[in-house]
Amino acid sequence: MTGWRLSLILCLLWSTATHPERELIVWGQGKDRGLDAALRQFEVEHPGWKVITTSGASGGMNPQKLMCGIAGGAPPDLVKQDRFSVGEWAVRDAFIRLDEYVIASLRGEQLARRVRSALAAGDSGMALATLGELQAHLHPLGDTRQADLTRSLHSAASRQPLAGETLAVADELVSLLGGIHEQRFFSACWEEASFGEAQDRGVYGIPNSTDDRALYYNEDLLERAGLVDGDGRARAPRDWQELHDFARRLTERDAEGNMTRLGFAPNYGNSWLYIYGWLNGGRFMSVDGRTCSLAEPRIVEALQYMVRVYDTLGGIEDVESFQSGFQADEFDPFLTGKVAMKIDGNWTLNNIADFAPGLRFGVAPAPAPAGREPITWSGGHSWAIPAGSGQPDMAFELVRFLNTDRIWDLRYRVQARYAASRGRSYVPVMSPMPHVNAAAFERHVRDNSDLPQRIKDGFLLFDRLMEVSRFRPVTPVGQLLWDEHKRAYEKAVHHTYSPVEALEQGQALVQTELDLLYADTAYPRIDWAWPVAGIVILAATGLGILLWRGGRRRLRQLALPESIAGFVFVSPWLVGLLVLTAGPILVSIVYSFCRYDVLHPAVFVGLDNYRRLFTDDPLFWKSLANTAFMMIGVPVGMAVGLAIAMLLNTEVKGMQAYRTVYYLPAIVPMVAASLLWIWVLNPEVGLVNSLLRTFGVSDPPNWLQSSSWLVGSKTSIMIMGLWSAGSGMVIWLAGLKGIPEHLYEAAEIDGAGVFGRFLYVTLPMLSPYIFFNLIMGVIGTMQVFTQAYIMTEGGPDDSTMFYAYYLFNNAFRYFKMGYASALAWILFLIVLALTLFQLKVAPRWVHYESDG
Amino acid sequence: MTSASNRPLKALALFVEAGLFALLAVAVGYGDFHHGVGFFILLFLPIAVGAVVAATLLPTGALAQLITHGALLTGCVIFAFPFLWLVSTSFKYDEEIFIYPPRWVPVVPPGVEHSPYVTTELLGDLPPEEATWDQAAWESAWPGMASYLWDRQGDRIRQLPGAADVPQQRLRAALLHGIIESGARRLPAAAWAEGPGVVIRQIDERVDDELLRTVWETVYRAVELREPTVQNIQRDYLPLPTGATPHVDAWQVLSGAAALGPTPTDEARPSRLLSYDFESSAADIVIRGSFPLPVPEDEFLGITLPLRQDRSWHALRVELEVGGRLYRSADDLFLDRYRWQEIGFKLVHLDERDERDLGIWPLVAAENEPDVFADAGRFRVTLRVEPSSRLVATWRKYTHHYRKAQLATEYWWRYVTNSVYLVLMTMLGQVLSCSIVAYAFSRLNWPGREALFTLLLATMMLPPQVTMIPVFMIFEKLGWYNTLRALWAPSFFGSAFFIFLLRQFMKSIPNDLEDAAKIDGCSFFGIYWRIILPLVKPALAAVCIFTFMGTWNDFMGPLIYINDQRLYPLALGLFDFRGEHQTDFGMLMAASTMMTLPVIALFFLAQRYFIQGVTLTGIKG
Repeated sequence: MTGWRLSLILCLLWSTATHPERELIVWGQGKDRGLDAALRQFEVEHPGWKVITTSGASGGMNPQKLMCGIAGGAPPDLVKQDRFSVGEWAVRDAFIRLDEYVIASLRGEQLARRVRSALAAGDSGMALATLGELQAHLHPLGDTRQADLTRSLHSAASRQPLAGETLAVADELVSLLGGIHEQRFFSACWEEASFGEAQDRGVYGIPNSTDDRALYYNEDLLERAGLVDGDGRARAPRDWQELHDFARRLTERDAEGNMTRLGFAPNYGNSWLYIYGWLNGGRFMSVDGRTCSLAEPRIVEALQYMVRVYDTLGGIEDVESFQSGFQADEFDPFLTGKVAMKIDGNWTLNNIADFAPGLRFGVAPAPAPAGREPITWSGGHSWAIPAGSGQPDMAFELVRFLNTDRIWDLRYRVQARYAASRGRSYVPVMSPMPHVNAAAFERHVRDNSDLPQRIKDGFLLFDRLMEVSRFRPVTPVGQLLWDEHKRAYEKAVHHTYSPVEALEQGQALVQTELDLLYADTAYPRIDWAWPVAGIVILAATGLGILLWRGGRRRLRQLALPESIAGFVFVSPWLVGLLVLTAGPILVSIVYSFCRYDVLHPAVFVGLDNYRRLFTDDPLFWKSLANTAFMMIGVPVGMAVGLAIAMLLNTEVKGMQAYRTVYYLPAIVPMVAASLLWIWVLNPEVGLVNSLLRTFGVSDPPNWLQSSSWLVGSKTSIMIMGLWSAGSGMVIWLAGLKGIPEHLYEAAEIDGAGVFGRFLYVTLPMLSPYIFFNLIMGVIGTMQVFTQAYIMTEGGPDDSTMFYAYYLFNNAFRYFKMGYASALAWILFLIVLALTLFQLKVAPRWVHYESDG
Repeated sequence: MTSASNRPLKALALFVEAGLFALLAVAVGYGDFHHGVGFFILLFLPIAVGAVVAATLLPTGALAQLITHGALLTGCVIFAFPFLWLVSTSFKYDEEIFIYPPRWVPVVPPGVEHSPYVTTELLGDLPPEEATWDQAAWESAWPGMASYLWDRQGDRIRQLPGAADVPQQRLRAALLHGIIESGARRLPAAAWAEGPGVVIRQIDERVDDELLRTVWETVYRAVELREPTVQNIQRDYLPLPTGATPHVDAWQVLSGAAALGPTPTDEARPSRLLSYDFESSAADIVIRGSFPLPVPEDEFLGITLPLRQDRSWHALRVELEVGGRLYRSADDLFLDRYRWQEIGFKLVHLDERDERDLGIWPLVAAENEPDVFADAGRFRVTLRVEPSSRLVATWRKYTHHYRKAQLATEYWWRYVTNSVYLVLMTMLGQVLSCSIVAYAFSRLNWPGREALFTLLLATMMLPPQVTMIPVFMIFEKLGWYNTLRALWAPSFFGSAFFIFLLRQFMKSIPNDLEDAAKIDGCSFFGIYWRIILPLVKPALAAVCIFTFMGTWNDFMGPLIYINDQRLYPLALGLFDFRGEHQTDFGMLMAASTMMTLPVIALFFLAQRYFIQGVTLTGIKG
């Protein structure tokens, strides 16, 4: 008996010791004081639970991280996901469908209301029955504040007469149990998080935030330029033609022709081709979602319009170079009058309130072509529960909790307070629910004496515009469509292609993907047995032949102990090779013949991936060309590295300090370095260009913002590479130190000059090092990735779309693992060929001392 | 100095020259000389000139030393330059960061002795951007323009709220500067062609109340305060119960050369202006006020103090007395802003969460204090302003972003520890495994060696993306997801690059030693351990450096494997930090500097072992 009790106590102790709190993992949250406070409140009302938030790196959700989490069976319980991509994940079954949770949440609220009205009517029988139902309903969540209240109401209801505060408790219960109502959201927000056809249509994300876009204009500048109405007050442009004319008239240049003020640029702010396409009555996808209509006439017209405005202003590079000097916050160019008009999101209001409350500005719906209605488009985030979440119930409870009115109110209050603590005024962020916005307006905007009337008007306009808001098409190829629409825009404004051609190319690519996804052909699921068997047989045969040939020739000369020692010593690497390299590689070979999105089983498509690569993928060739171009950097980098090493090989005092300085760039972390270089190479305010201007170069290059081959984004990345050439210096130094002095002396006796000694002694003696650095340089260049990932994201105009980055994008941005594996294999073959070639020619010029 | 040490110099000179010519040829060949070459020349010319001079003069002794130092220093400037920029940015005000032309030395704050005061700190340089005249024309025109404008606007300026309390000479300079700058924005571009008279007349016509107010807000600095509000333990913000007189009247100056008076600017909510003069007395200013509590004492959590600061960087100490206990602010606060701001204080024993980055500062109970205020239902706040010299102000301003970054990253030291742990483990793994594998590849004969070596080379070319997902699955199955093990364990299987590197080094070791050891009956492991390993120390040092760099900077690995922020290494922490504070450039640069400095220090100290190892060992005998 005692033993039994003891073990029970031990058991309890054990469980409390190992699970003091249950954790709810939330990703992608970012720094939001209001939300932080709401999560803390959640923990208070849900004892025993702890919410662990991770921003998910770089603010937004990193798809690679989430995909790894889901694929590895360890996803977060909840993610804040950019809403337009929710459908894309949903179609791959990566997110849980939430319809049933939504219905359950409504039921909770309904029951609470019924309890309240029964109590108010004094019908305690009814109240008790409903409370019973409610308790059952709340049971799965365990001990929560709402469960506590339900319990206390239960005991209160069974006593007669009812205590006075019982109704207040019931009221609190109702407010605690607020449910998710589809009708309470802006339809654009709800629809954007829903996906599927007919019966299969469901909601996969609950909107958490929203934004929309309108035209901001600086009244001072418009009045100055005489763009006024009858009363002499500034007036916003009414249609596209006026917008174009205003843009031209408001743009100013100095005596040398440098832009000093930008009137309006179609894509400055946050507008994209999307807003112009929709304003012109265009559709980006067919109603059934099967056809991409990116190149339909109305969208072509829209893009032509954007190109026309940029051309009128003097071309995209001119405008973008001017833009590159723009900064955020109090130096926002719209606030400082450097930009007269822009189409931008509602968040700009916050900036104006913070930093330029005195600004005379106006907000108007973005002008449409004459005769068309104004519209806007909205984005924002949604909460989604990844498939495989350990606690979907509690995760949804958190979503529901966050969307109750009282929590929205809490979030707003805390944010307002935080703004006050920073000495800034506060404009509430827009919620996806109109009634919440209305409440926020009442509480934080209408009577707020810190906010100018213009901002209050703006707040209301943005809220109203949400009613006519469009949203990016919900489609399995949403990310691709976004990228291609952006690509088409870039090609057109840079005049690489005409708008029609650019859009048609994009449309073709998106359509190919769509056709693949909706194709009726049922590809066979991959059967792992035969590829594995085949590969094993192949490998065994290869190894057998190898051993047999080697054995026949040399085994007799080799000592057995030495062979055993050899195998034993090489085994750490061999094991690693088999487990961490060979296995995964074989898997990826098989994938290269498959269509595979990680979340679904792979299906076999034969040579399809390779065929498409070579026949209809222009970016494949472009990325190859870009990468090949970067090879120029290899010898230059080696030369600089060797030069530094030779300098550092001299015998002077303070060498330690010198070496540290030369090595410095290699130590600065990539993240910091890229941040720094983006800025150092900024065409307007960057250090390099200000130096160049001091030296009399009147029109310095646009560096990272230019797609030019000669001095553009690629050259910039090469220069950045040169800067850290010191990292190779250790190897060069080792080589230089290894050259025996007597060789130089002998050469000197033979009458060799400085150049001769370098040519006939240093270079040959360094040849193994040159060879090594060359191979590593070539390999490294083929894999250039980080700079493109952090600094340029492949742009501008795909000029930094390097092969490895393109591969990464296919794998982790478009979920095309099979395609990416094929790309990887081609990369592998290219590098292999290059290396074999170098190994082949190496004996002709590489001099190994011990070989001689 | 022997001629041997000049040899590399001469060689270098020619080398750099050849490189330069190649670059020139490329640029000229493309016909875009003007664009490309400027920068290349800028980069290479100093090194080339220094080196060529050194090589052709062939001097000996001190001169050679001097020239070598010159060349090295020029190189240093180029290489350290972006890093210096990074550090310099971390010392700047936000307003200083994005200006053109760039500012090299961050502003040194003035030592403020009198307040209120005016400053042109936030105004741009004259002439205004819009002006089309050159500097000389501007300078000759400006005095006339200024006196015209002062004649016309002087009275209005003097009537600005608070203008009477600041030195009149400074007032004139700052206001005219500001008016010209704002007025120029409203002026048609054509006006500048018409000469100073027209310009200044037109600007004068455009001066309205709004413009004057905006300029005034930009240049005026003052300390002002309002009554505090109270926060209860439910975290509601409660105003004080209304009384007969405004609560703001409760503030009194206890000591110091200061006075509290009505504020000229803000009529809507009552506030008091603090004017002080540290020139006449450098003693601390003490201000005190007692206020009624709107909540029961046991529900009191803290106060919120609305304060406008004057960016003088004087220290501010806060004491709160309530319920017979005295609480002090545990942190150093400075008058570092120039806007209204609500500073929160809370009793830390009631709520231990660190919310300093939210602007809520902890108050710690002080023991054994005499004469503690104990009126029931009231609390008392004491503010103490300690003057700071210009030097101290500068230090505080320069370290401002560092303090902010510290507060904004909860786990800073965790990041550091994780990184150091990872670096040590990966180094250990790479050194042990790579050296023994390289030994097998270079010094032992066994069947299939060449084939496996080719395979090894081939794996170097494998893009890591290919194996990423499958490897992830393996580690996940092993339960290594979200552990640091997933990041260091692979190093114990060796890396192709280092094996290749070490094999190349080992190949060049002569066989004699090994043969002798074999004759003495030494085992293969013995040869590896006793003979080969000591000989390849320099190469191992190189492996260590590379491993260190790779691990220290790696963020893809942690990005995939690490889920929990407490396990982040520094690089990912910084990446994350960058994502969260996109626009806070000064703080980002401060964080980057903090991340880089330990590595620089370590490299500086340890390079004796890393590089001198290379220089002392003649590998090839």
